[in-house]
Amino acid sequence: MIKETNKIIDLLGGTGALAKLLSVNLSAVSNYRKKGFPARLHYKIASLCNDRGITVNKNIFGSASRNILPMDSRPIEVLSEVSINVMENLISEEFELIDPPVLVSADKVLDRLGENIADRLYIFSDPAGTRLCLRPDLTIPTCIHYLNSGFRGEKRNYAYHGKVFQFNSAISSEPNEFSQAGLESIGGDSSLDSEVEIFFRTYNSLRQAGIKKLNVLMGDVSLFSLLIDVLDIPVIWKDQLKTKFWNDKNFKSLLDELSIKKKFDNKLFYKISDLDQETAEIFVRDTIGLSEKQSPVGRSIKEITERLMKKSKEINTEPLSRSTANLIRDFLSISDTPSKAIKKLKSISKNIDSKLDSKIDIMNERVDKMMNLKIDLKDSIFSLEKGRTVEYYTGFLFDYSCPILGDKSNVGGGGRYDDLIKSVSSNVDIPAVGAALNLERIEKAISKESSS
Amino acid sequence: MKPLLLALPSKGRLHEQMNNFFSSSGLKLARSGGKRTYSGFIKDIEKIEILYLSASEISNELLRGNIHMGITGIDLIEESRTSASKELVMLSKLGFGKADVVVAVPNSWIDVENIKDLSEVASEFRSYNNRRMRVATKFTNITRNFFSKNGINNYRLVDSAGATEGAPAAGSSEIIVDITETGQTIEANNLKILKDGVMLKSESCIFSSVSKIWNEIDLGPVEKFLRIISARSEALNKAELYFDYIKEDSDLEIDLYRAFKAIFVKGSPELGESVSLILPLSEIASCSFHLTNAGYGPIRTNQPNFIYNRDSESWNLLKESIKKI
Repeated sequence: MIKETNKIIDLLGGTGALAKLLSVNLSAVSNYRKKGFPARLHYKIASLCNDRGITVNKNIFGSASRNILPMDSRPIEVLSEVSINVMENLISEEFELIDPPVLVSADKVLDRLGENIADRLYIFSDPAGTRLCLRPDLTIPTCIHYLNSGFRGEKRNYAYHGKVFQFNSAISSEPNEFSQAGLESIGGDSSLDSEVEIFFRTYNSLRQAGIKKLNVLMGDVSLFSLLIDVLDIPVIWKDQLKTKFWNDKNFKSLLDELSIKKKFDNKLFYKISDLDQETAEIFVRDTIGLSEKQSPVGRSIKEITERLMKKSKEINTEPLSRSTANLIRDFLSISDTPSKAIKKLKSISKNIDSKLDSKIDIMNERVDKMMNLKIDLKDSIFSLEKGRTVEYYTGFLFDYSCPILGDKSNVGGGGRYDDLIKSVSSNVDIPAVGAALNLERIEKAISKESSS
Repeated sequence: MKPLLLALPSKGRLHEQMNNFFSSSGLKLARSGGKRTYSGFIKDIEKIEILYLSASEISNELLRGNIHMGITGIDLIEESRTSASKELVMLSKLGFGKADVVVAVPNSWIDVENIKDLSEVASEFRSYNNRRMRVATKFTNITRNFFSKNGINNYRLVDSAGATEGAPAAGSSEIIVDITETGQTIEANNLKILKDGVMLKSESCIFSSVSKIWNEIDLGPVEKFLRIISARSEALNKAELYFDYIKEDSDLEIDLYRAFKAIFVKGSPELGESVSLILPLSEIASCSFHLTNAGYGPIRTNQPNFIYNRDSESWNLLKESIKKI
């Protein structure tokens, strides 16, 4: 392997020339001659060789980076300087570089993302009649790669880059295809460490690529659902509040609605209120007019009965108290630097439930871990509202923006999505956390920053 | 000067209804060449070239701005409209092809009566079954817009090419969104339309596209054509009502307008005169009762063939939209 490394150094012009190309000093390159190239340089070396038409034995890059593009027979991609810098800092021994599928099942994507995004997808049928979709991101294809590799819960760390496709309308100037680079950590335990690692690596690679002014916005949607879980309110309200959480307008009108005594038109809600589950199921069966062997279309007798019973409980419930409604509103309005936000959270939610307290402690721990990695969080914002507009993340989430880009300032983001693998295919719960960066936007931000 | 392109439905019920409408308007359609060609013209109106296309193709061509005017349903326009579509103007409703796009659920869903129930059930369905509730429809756009407006997000659309109303029973979907005139087919398939489940009231209309193709068009013949069309469609929905004005009642004019949208044809009446009102067809009975109760009678009614208003609304709409181009 060392022999191969030395051959490459020579082909690239020798120790001095390579030191210049990599902007490192001479002693570093002589070190490579003895110990091989460090993982963070694999990407760049491969690209340099590719540019110069040098054929390389890919074994020198170790297993993590083996399928780096130029070595295989697949088409050569041209990556810009900035993209290479970003990738260099994402790839390491721990993150295996993969090339996930471009074509994915349209049904899987729609099941995951919901119909609201359907008009931004490139959906078509192949000659066999299968409905396919050009990948709108690399997260779903990475999960498919994980499952196709036969893993069912084992921890795997992946890195990727490639084109993604989102229709941005004929009027908008946003491109319909752009490049993403990112990381996913799938399986294992849903630990804080993988969240912090993904955050740290993506944050770091943006910084190393040369972005000067970078805003970080963080949130954690699991806090809201835990708050709702521990509140003393009917289950059906909990379900409703959690469902409408993702749309602020609907959420506000639901809160208002729950705060006044409701009237129900459906007489069945009243009729069923005194029955136990079994009698209620018989009552429902009779009302529909089904024999014991028949079942209703689309939903089971149990499903229908349980909902009727939940509704009948709702009839006899007093409206949501003003203090609880205000608690929910105050909770969601928290938005501050991470440490101040945690302080506010603690004061709002003290004496509600110990589960909530320990969740907040975990958040605190996460922030501490980030600080220990010397991530500067002074200008970051932690907001309880973050993540509400896309029903996608299940816990911690973050995004990065470059103010110099104006309106479309987002350059990437990520977070935890523990239900992702489940919704893509498998029935087992496999935790996942990841992040993706928009390479073109990063490039634009860097060039704007340097020219201003 | 270029000819104006007007697209008309080429087949099916819409084609027949459109033909009846044109002949009752006194407009004679002729095909260029033979009976089987797909282009034609209107006798006695120059410079309008007719293209016969399917109703959904007419919607697409209008939204792309490729033709000047076309007759198609509101449902098809709303379904084909995307963020990339050109602006359209609805010049006039034509009074035929009326149908509703509705959302219907199985009769056995006795706990579901309105959209709000459906929204709750959709999210419960996902947690019970670990998949989204399926909606069979050929109106994917209309459904997405309506559901998103109503806060329903836990669902999946299933394309249905043929008989949508059969999908729940066949097990390929849980609920449906479909178009219906009377609701009978839906009922016959053990489905019920939700109380607030009418998503769109559709009807055949004449639309114009707001696009550069309107440059170099002679508007004279277009005005004539539009005035005829809208005079006829106005007459189809309105009726005329006569009675003898026998006692002083200064509030009568305003009362009848407020209650029945009835308009005196020549302003305030004078005692002893026979007067006439124009009002929506659906208000004829109530307005007549109102008048007989007030001591008037006999009330005579009549349905005109054409109502030419001084200002043609559809012509004004077209003029305004062309100015913007």
